[in-house]
Amino acid sequence: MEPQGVIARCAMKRRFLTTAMRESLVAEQSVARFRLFECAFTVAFLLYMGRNLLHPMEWLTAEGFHLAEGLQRPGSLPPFPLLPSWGVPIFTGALLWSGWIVGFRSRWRRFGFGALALLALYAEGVDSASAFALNKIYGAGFIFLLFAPGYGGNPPRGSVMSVRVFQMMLLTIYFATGFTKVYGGDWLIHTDVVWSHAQGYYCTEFAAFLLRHLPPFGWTIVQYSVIVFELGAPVWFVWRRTRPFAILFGLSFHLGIALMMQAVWVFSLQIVTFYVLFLPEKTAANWLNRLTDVGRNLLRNGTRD
Amino acid sequence: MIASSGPDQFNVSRKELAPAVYGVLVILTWVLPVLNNSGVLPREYQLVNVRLAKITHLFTRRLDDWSWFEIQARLTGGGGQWVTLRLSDYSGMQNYGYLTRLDRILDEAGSRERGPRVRRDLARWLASVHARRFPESPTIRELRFLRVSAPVGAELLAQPSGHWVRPALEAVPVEWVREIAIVTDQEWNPRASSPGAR
Repeated sequence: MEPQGVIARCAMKRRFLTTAMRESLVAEQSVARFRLFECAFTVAFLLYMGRNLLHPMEWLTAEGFHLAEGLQRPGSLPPFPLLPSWGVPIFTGALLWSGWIVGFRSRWRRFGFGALALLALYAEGVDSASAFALNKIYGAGFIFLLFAPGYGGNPPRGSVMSVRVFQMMLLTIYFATGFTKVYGGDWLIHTDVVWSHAQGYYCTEFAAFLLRHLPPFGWTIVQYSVIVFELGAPVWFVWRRTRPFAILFGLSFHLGIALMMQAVWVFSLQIVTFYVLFLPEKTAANWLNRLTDVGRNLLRNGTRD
Repeated sequence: MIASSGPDQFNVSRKELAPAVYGVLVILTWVLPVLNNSGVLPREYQLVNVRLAKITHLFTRRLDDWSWFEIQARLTGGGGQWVTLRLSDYSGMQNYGYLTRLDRILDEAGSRERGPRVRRDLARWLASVHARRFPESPTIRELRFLRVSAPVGAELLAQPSGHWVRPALEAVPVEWVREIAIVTDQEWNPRASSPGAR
């Protein structure tokens, strides 16, 4: 073959690859699933904060015991100032206002995300005893939402990078969590790791039932399937053929965690919100339209009342 | 187009540049720190170490036991008897499984380095809250911090009849219970009366 022909073929392949990369990473597309994710992530955060706000004085004010600087668990932020009692309604109001802006005034949503990022970081710093890994994910998530590429129209159109970034966020969490279980932990050394975690003070009625009835090999199957799912998540979710199975497995996995571990439903809910980013765009657009209609009706009825 | 030196270059329009930069920033501030903290990237190549990225060390090891703290108090005029405090009287926020926020703080009370200060601060706080919430009750003079470690597989844990219920301290085998420390009112309130006056 003539060298010029080879060069031309290489150039074509390169062009094809760069176009494909561009299409899948930065090109403008319909991003209804991203808008859905924004709403779902915000609602999940508000529910989490709402749960903590059942005990606002213990959590946010000097009425509860708070560890002084230097006494918190390693890796915690330095303690933020506590709120005076009158600050609690302001904190609650700021949460609701931000949620409202994100849900119902999408043009101003960046203000909402900015405020939510600050509130999430405050919740992380004010009380290390009620801050978990999910606080950090919310903090980072709202910061990334604040700076995400814009979109407009109906269905919303914008750079697909916003979708890719949050998909990547979820897959990083899964992969890294699986990695720490295998390489930093002992999930491949023992066969009863999940069984040992199902006991103790997280054990719900459902977990107790399983502990009484699930045979040891059942626990081992759960353990290995979790590792395969988490470590392989970047493949299972990206490859179109395995994606539906990944979504089904992931939803069952998080439902299982929520049912088996008391108080951990907030984490399951948070992670499941990322799943809307893997929906087919058409389905997401339909869901978004329905949600928008519900929102409009709510607003209309609210104004009439 | 801002980068077009030939027909087969990866040309990026201005409109596409901002999302591309955004993607790179997220990789730098989220993906790499999370992978770093979880050990996927070797420590010597640690580019960024952000506290907020420590999110992946969840349930990584098999548990040999489940442990929690109990606090007992000696009250004025109580004849030296230890009374177990019900921690839910002092903390209603149940965010740690079936345990409370205060139980999670107590994990720090067992720390070798930070434990003594945590126990003293907590003892001071408990004594003052106790005096405020139970004005009829005698005041707290001493607090004893106990750690209960229940081995996994023990019937209480592995064959539970229902969801977790904190067992009474008297109901657990003595070998599960270890005394961590005793804190007296002299430590949290140096102006308190001498032990002899109890």
